[in-house]
Amino acid sequence: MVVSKLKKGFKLKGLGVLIAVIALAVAFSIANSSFLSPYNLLIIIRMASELGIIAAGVTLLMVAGEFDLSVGSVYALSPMVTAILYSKFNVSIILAVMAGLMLALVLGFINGFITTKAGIPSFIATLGTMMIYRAIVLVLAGGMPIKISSDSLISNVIGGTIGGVFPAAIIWFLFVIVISYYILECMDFGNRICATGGNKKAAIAVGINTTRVKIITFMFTSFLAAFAGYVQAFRLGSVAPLNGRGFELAAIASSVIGGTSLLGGVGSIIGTALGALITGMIRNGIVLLGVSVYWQDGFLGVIVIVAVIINIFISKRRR
Amino acid sequence: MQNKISVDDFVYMKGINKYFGRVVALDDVYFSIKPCEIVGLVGDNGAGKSTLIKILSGLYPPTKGVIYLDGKKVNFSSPRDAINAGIETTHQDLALVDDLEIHRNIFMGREPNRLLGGFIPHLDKQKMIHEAEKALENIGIQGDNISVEDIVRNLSGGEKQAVAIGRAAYFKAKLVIMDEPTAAMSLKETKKILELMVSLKEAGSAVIFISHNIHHVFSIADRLTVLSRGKKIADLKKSETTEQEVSSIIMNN
Repeated sequence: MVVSKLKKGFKLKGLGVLIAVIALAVAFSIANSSFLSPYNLLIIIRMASELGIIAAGVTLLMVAGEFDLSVGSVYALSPMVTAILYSKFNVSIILAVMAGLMLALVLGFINGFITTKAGIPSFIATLGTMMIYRAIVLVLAGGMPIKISSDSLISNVIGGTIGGVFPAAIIWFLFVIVISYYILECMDFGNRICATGGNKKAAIAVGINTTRVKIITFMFTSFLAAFAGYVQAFRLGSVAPLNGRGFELAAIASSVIGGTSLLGGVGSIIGTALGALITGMIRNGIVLLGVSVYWQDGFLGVIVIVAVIINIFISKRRR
Repeated sequence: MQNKISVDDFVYMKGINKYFGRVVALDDVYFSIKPCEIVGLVGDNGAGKSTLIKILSGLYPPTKGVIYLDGKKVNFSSPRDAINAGIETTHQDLALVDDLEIHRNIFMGREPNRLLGGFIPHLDKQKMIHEAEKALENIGIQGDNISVEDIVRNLSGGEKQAVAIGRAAYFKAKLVIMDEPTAAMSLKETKKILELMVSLKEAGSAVIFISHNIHHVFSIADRLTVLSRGKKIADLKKSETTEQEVSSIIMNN
């Protein structure tokens, strides 16, 4: 009974990733006993947090049947605009952050608008905006990192630590996971996201405005990408123009490891959170093992492929 | 042909034209249906059956022509408008989302909410599950090893159609449009679906039954409207015609 409830709760796929997380933790801790030390665990989860915040949005969007390759660029662009407003135009930091977050919503709207109104695949639409947004970052910054406030209240709240040890990033990560889970599983909008990505024509036939669902989800995804950018920017005290490169694919990888389908309609926020955690564990564990960091992405690649094979195997057995 | 509006028509479509570029999909088509009537909409491929019902379900606007509902002129700019007017459409293979549970499918787009702590909107899952069970019970498919918490993918084709019919019945549709509900069904499933359509009528809905299979249509329809190449070529009461006559009208045109 308990097991069947557990299985239902994780929809089996989530359970698969959880087993993978535990297996990796055991393997790495056997290889290096300091892997499971509290200090190292905090580092892993913090590393997972920034990616996880982005991946939560990317998962919702994938469930709605769309991709966003521009998240890495938005991750850099919004904080960059804030840094420039703050450093060069003396705008108060809180207003500059507001402006950056508003900008993220606009960027997400542009992604959604191009995808739905021009009717081109979002993979192409956001491949284009990824390049455009990145170019704007580079032009604005002139290729150089720009300082952002690091001692204000907002910088401490978003990118600081609690008691000098516990990164705020982790709390934000959990917060975003809870919100995203709530949207997908507990709100009518979540049901409409699933319907839109699962069978767009059926969704339209029951009166769901799928264009609106997609545009709102694009905006939410962009907002989270920008927010993750602030978490990093305030932690480091500056914004570099190449921040977030490659995050779009890492976010998709986290979602896929967590059981989200590339075809839309199916996804798990908890799976994605665990997928982001696996990414953090591998990046960290490989360093602890003394393996060349050049292997990091190679390891992740193996995990992605194995995860998808397992997920397909599980979903076939469910039928 | 019945081209005049009658006082008891639920739907009256007048002079409907639809062009796709220079292709004429519908040419001055008149269509009507009364409450609690089953109208079979038949004709060969490309006759314009699907285009006509897509206009009636709010998916396309007509190029020319007017739709009256209960004698009042209406303008559907989206499927939502048609649904709000009591018109439910079950498109062929497109009615349900395979990866969603039955109860989430039934309430798709019309999810019941309750407020958590007075202000946080929250899906009323208990209500969804409970009401979905009632909806399946009403059409008599509850208990056949089907749980409303199953995902639709695991259902047979006939069960999927039954869920879609159950949804229309649950929301007390005034008109249910069924596009090829018996296509690719086993004999047993076909029989069940035809029975369910009759029970929709008995519960007070009008039904438009679109099919290639004259035999299926003839077994339950009150009237048959025949389209050919975008034109209405016949509109016959079942009591005044035979299956052979309808077949030959379609074949010879």
